Formats: sequence, structure tokens, C-alpha cells
Amino acid sequence: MQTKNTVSRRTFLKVGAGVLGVAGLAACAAPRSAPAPSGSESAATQAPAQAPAAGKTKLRLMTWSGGEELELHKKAFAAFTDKNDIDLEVTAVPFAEYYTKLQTEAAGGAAADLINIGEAYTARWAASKVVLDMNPFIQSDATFNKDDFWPNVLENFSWQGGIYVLPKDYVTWGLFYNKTLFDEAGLSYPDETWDWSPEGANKYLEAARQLTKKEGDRITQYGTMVPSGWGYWVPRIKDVGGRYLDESRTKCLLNEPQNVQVFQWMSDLINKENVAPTAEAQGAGFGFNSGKVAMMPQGSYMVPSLLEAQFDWAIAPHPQGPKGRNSIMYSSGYGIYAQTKAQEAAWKLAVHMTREGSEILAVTGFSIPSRQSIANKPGLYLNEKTIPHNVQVFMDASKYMSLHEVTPTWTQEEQIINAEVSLLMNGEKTAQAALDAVVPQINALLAKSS
Amino acid sequence: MNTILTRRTGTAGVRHTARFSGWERQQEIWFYALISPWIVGFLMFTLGPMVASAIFSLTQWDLLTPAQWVGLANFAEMVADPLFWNALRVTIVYALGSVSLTIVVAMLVALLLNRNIRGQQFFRVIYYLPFVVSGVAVAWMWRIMYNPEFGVINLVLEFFGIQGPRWLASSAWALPSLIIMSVWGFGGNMVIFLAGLQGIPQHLYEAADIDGATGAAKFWHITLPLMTPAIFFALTTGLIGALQAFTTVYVMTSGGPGNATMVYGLYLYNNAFKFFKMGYASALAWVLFAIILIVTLLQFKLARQWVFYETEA
Amino acid sequence: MAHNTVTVRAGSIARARLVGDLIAYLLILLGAIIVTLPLVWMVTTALKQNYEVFLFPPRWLPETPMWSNFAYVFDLMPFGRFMLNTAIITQLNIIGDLLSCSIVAFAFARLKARGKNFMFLLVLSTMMLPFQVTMIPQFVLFRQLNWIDTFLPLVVPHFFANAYQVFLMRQFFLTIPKDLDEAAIIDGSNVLGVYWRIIMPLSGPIIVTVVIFSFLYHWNDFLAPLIYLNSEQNKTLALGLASILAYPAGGQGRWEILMAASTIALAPCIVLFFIGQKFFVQGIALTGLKG
Repeated sequence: MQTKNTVSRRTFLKVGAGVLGVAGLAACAAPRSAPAPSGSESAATQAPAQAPAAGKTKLRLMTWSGGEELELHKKAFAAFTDKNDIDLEVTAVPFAEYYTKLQTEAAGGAAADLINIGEAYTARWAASKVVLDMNPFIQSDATFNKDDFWPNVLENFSWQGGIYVLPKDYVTWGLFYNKTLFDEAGLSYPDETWDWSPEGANKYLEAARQLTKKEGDRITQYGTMVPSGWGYWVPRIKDVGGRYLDESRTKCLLNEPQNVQVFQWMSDLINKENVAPTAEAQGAGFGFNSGKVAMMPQGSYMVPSLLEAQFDWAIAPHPQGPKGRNSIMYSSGYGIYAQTKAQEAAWKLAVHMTREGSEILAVTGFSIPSRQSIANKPGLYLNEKTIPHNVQVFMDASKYMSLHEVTPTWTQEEQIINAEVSLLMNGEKTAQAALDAVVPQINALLAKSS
Repeated sequence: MNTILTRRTGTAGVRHTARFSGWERQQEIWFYALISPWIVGFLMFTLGPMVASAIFSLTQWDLLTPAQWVGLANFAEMVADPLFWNALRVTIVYALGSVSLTIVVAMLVALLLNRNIRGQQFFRVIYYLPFVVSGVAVAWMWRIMYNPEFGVINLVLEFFGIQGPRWLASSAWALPSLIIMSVWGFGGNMVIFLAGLQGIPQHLYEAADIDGATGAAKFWHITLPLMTPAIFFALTTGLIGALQAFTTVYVMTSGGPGNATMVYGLYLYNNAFKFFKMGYASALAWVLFAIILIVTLLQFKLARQWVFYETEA
Repeated sequence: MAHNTVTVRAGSIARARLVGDLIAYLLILLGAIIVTLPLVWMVTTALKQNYEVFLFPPRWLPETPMWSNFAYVFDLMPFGRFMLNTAIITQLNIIGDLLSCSIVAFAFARLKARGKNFMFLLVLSTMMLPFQVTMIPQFVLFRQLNWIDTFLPLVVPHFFANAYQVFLMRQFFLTIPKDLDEAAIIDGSNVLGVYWRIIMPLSGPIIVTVVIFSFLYHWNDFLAPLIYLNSEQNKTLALGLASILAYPAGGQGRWEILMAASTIALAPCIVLFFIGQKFFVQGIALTGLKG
């Protein structure tokens, strides 16, 4: 009678079995790919599958590197683990979720033995005793040689007299320029004599204007990019003698006149001068990497993605501002988890990543090795064959680069600033209005957290 | 089948009653045994977390350091937080715009399809298709279509001589863009409406025809009243869903430009998983729940005045 | 006399109806084009070369279809891994949804018990509860269990029935004649026997509907994986797709690659939809009208 609506039980079972079968297969594949974060639990589930040789030290390392960068790091780790008979498990978490993940793991008492940490976050993890003070290790290691590190790079990771992270590299900014487009326009390349200013004539704006091309009323080539992130605007307001927070870091200074002028200038390059692409135009393929924009102030991490570019390019120092030249610096390295059972091995791997490991990382041009001896080693970072683009600029920047003034509520401050800056950059708000909206919000935040 | 029926009706009068008295008593035990998975899940993943969430909302907690009891401070903070009010406004505009437009479009298309024209089945499937594709991929697709430089939308507008807006890049147009995009999925409601339309007894229209009623009159006096249960369903479920919007906004605008599209769900997520203000985020969640509860109860209350159930007539 | 007026009116009505149908047909056709345009645009963009994406005036069809764009997606990121993860999670959830919801729905549809109406109202009322309310405590709970960055938080809760699908299945079960249960009981079957031998075999359409709904929901789910999954090797398609701009060469205006990835992610949903569209429409109609 009900044949039309009937799925016979046999069919149902068959489908069910099929589904279960695939799920079963999947489940077999799952444990290896889905390690539980807890050390003990993952050890328990993985032990039969991997059966590590007795006595082999197990280490887990957490990093935000991904893609090619991660592969490169794994190569650098392997150079150590192969020699030292160490079983290393790498947990890679994208940067956007990285510190959330670390927070979660640390709260559960099961963080990785080695933890990738950026300088801006050192104080937080040091204060909450998630990572160890490395000074005892440094002092007991005669070959460590603290002075080999670039000035400030090691100090950036100190907190209340201790050093909590061993930096492997740093990243800083320069002015990327498209030689091909400069040649076409018959302009000379940017150099250290270049200047920029939020008012009046300057070489940077002049070049940007000359490098912007139109067909009818459509712009087909832009002079420069204007990044909207803090890595760009923090040094720019320093260039005019401004700063983000006051000395005590309790008051936001962004709406002071010289700062407002800088932000207005950034917006004007896009919306008034039309020498830089809007966000939509960037979405429509107007980027430095596509060869349609002649200049780009950016960090050294852009280098690897440009090595395959179809045009000739190089790096110059960012043009000097009315009150000097500045650049932001980011740095990262590894901290040792306070509750690790393998302190010694973790320390050795952290040191390795400042030496041989750092050499392996250096060849892509992504970042600059933290030790001067390695950064200057011929044929590695400075290699005319692999990176013939004047990356020397990034090493020279060590003379004028500085850190961002970070507070514990920086994530929220950044959200507040980005929201208003997006309205500035799309031309809907003036810098004065945008920054006047930012300052009270940030002051309220700082007042509450202090 | 037949044999069972015969046996039951024919031979087992006495046996019937005997077995059934036991069966009736057993049913209750079986009922609770069989719904126990739901009860356990309800306690573990719904009621328990609700209680926990209520407690969290009275604390300040970042997961790492011990929670601090702050009483109603989170709720006081909310009242003074301009971003909370902004999120509330954005979400309400989005929900009302999206749900009402979707219902209107779905009804119009359902009426057209209900004319029993050739290929009705085919068109129903085509219109329904957008409803089944969702999530991140669709958000990307629309983000590209909205690009004022090369997106297909402004291209089509340009063909008609209209200079399209900057869509997602403009704080005035970003929210309308998201609403328009949500209307694309009207097919879900359309199918419900179409089924409803097909359930309206034909003799009602025939009677109206004989009385010389116009098409409009028939729509207002027959179709619409009989469709109110379906519209009510679409309205209720639509609002509950729209008030929780998250994925498309996360992918398409991240709440920008400015905070023009910072919907409640995204603001809550940011507070919980970006700023680690678990207490504040829990307080936000409870306010959202209260709003959904009020809106839904209000709808049920108002429904008595406009939803027409055949059984009542 | 009366007979005549009716025929005349019927004639003009027939003519008006014909014109109306024609207009309706054109409108429906236009609507169908508008509705499918985004998906068509997605696929054609996926087949373009990068420069073609930005041509002005734009080009609708690529000069030569770049099938290699689809392969490039798998080079750009571990897309195969993401698909496998999504498939695993989706499969387990379909099993969980189907088993738990059908049993609970069976109890609600076929068994008599005191407090049943109250329980059913309770089930329905959870539909109103926003995920955001339980999201944070659930996160805390699963963190305590050390389940973060595993599939467990995404799968286990779905073995405890959800209101929507319980409701859907109950509606269908109610349409099956009650005599069948009684007959089976008389024949000595117990309640589980009725569920397994009578109800389930007759519920093909609703089972297919639930499977399709579960598939679509879990395949596209974003918020829960975003909260619980962190590491690259555990990501789902939706997560990978959302962070595609963060991959090297993903963020350089390579929209054709992005659209290729989106096409791959949506393809199973579309195929499944066309295969099961009959059940789908049926299932949807069931929820709306017999409440």
C-alpha cells in the first residue's frame, strides 16, 4: 500500500551502514589530525599510533606562522630536532585567533612547551606567569653572547628585570617602489633624501602625483598605497613630533592638531589628491603586487610575496618627516612555558632559533635575524642573488625604529580606532571628527583598566 | 496489512483490551525514556549554560584570572555604552528590513507562480536554490558583486544609466546592502506561501467570481486572510533568525565602515572572543534573549488580532 | 439568461487570464534570471584569468576557461583537508540529528503521557533561545573537558536532539495512521519495534528531508567552528574560506581564486539540492502549515 513513501528497512540500513563506515574511517583519521590540546590526553590517544622511542624528549610548540612561512619554520625546527632526537609537535594557529588560543590553553594548565610571542604581549604573559624568566639560562650559557642581538631587540621582551622571550627575528617598515613604473615616468628612485610632510611641497607627494595615470576619468595607475593600520600611522605621527598616548599611557593624544593633520593627509591622498586607491579600488586589483601602484609603505614581511613579481622593484627608507624619520618594529620569538617538563630542551630549541634556525628563516627575506652576526652573514639575508632589492634598508632602520606604546586593552583600542579611521579613509568623516570620536572612547577605556 | 487488520477486528476483542491496559501504562514510561536524550541535552547544553550565563553576566572574567563578582555593573556599563545602543539599532533595522522585504517578495513571487503556469515546478526549484546556499561562500560572492569598481551590480545599474552607490564601502549603504542580500534567500518563505496558496479551496474563488469580485478584492478578502498563518510563521522565525545575524556580516564588513553594520551578534562575539570580556558578553547575550522573548511573545499576542485560523472561522 | 451571462463572463475571464499569465510568465522569467545571476557570476568569475576579473567594461564570460583556478585553490591552502574535516563533522552530525530527533519525535507523535504537552512546549521554546546565550558557558564547559580544537564540541551536542528537526519529524509521524502501531503492539511488538519496524520504514521522505537540512546546516556552519577550532589541520571549509585573504597570494585581489574556492564549497549543497529538491520543498511546507 505505502510503497511510494516507503524506504525499505534494508535500504535504510544500507545507507546507515555506508554513512557509519565513512564516519568510522574518518574517526580513524581524526586523532592524528585533531590532537587534544591537553598534554596528557593527547599523549594518551596518540601513544599507540606513534609509539615514540623510549627516552625521546617530546616538545610541543605553538606558533601563528601559516602556509609557506610555517613550512620554512618547520625546516628550521627540523635542523634541531633531527640532531637532538626530539619529537616536536607544532600547533599552528592563525594570528587572529592566536592569543585567544593561548589564553584558553594556559587557563587550562596545558599550554605548549614553547610559545611564540610578540613583544607587545610579553608583559601580559610574563605577569600572569605563563612563561619563564630566561635570565638564569642566559647567565649559565657562556656562548649566548647577549651583545650580538640588535639594540633593543632583546630588551623588548623584558619585564620587571626578567627576559621572557628569546627573539628570533624582527620586522620593520620601508618604502617599496616599482622601478619599472618609475622608469616609465622618467623619475629618479626614492632615496634617503626623500621627505614627506602633511602640508606644503614634498618629494613623496610630488612623485605620487606624477605616477598617477588616468584614461578619461578612470584612474589606471596610482602613485602610492596608504595603509590604514597602526603600523603605518604610529611612525607618521612621530614624524611630525606627535604621539599616540601620553607618557603615563592614560590619555590618548590622537586628536592633537599635528596628529589630526597627519590623518587628514592620509585621507586626502586617497580622496582629494586621488593618488592612492580607495579600499574598493584595492579590491578591484589596484595593489602594489599587481604592478598598478608605484609605491607602498610596508613591512619587510611583504618581501617573499613580491619575489615572483612581474616587475622590477626595490626598497627605500620611508621618506623623512618634518621632525625626523621613524619606523615601527615588530619582533617575535619563543617563550618557555612555566609548567613545561622539558625546560632544557625547550631552551635549546629557542636558542637554536636565534642561530641556525634563524639562518634558515633569513633566506626568504620575510624578517631580519635578531642577531647581528647572522643578519650580516653574507649570502643569507643580504643576498644579491635571491633578494636583490636593497633589504639593507631594514637593517639600517634599526637606528630609527621604535616600539608601539601598548596597553593591556590595545585590542579594544585598535577596534575603536579602526572603526573611525575606516570612515576617514572612505571620505565620510574629517580627521578632526573621526579622532574626536576616538579619543573619549579610548580615554574611558584606559581610565577603567588602570 | 490486510491480515493484521482482519485478525484485530475479527478475533481479538478480549485480548485487545487486556493488552492495551498494560500498553497504556507502559507508554508513559516509554515516552520519558525515549525523550531522555533531549532532556539530558537540554540540561547540559541549554538550561545549565543558561544558568551559568546568568551568573557570568554578574562577573568580570577574562578566562585567565579568577572571575570577580561585580553585581549589575555589566548592565550599567551597557546602558552607558554607545556601541551597545548602536548594535541594537543596527540589528533592529536589519531584522525589520530583511524580514519584511523577504516576506513581501516571497508573497509576490508565490502569487505569480500560483497561476499554474507552465514550468511552475522548475521555477519553484530555481527560486528556492538561493535559500539552500548560505554561509561564507555566499558572503564572498556578494562582496565581489557589490564592488563598485568591477562588481556585477553596478555594471547592471550602469546599463540602465544609474550611477550605483559605493555599497559596502559607504556607511549609508552598507546595511541596506546586507538587507538586499538577505532578500535573495526569499525562496524559503516562497515555498511555504505557495503551499499555502495551493491549499486555499478553489470554490471560495469561484463563489467570488460569480459575485463579480475583482482580483484585488479576492486577494484582500480571500487570499491574504487565509495566508496569515503562513505569514505569521515566516515573520516569527525570520525575526528570531535575523536578530542573531553573524556570518555574513563577519565576512563582508566586519561591522564597518565605522560601526554601520556592527550587528548585535558580532558585537557580542567581539566582546567574548576578541576582548575576553566574558561577563559583559554574557550580559549582552541575556539582553538579546530578553529582546527575542519579548518580540516573540508580542507577536503571539498580536497574532490573535490578525492571524486567521480556519478552525476558528 | 443566467446561463448566458456566465459564459460571457467566463470568456472574458479566460482572455484576461491569458494576458495575466503572459505577464506573470515574463516576470517569473526575469525573476529567475535575477535570482540565478549571482551564482552564474560566481562560476564565470571562477573561470577567469585575473586580469579579466577587472576589465572595464566587464566581460561576462572568460575568453578561455581557466580550470586550473580550481586546482590552484588546493595549492593555496589545505583545501582538501578542510573538505575532509567538514565532511567528517557533517556526517557525524547527520547521524546524531537523525537518530536523536527521530526517537524524540516518535515519542511525541505516537505515545501518550502526562506532561507531554508541557514537554513539547519546552522543546519548541528552545527555538527562541539565541545560540549566543549558551555559547559562552558551552565554551567554558568544553574548555574544561579539554575539547577545544577537536571536533567533539561540534558533534556531541547534536546527539541530543534539536527542536527544529524534532518538530519537523513529529509533524510527519502524525500523518501515519495510528492503527499501524496498535496492530504491531497486538502482534507482540514493543515500542522500539514500532519505531524501527513501522514508523521509520514509512518515513522515507522526512528522513531525506532531515538529512538534507542537517547537511546544509553543518556544511555551512561558521560560528561554532570559529569558536572551537583553531589549528590549520582542524579547520572546516567555512573557516578556511573566511580566512582565505590571509594566505599568501590569497589577498592580492585574486577574486577568481576566491570564487573558485566558493564554487567548490557550494557545489555539494547545490548537487544535493537538485537531487533531493522534492523532499526539501515538502519538508519546508510541512513546518509552515500544520503547526
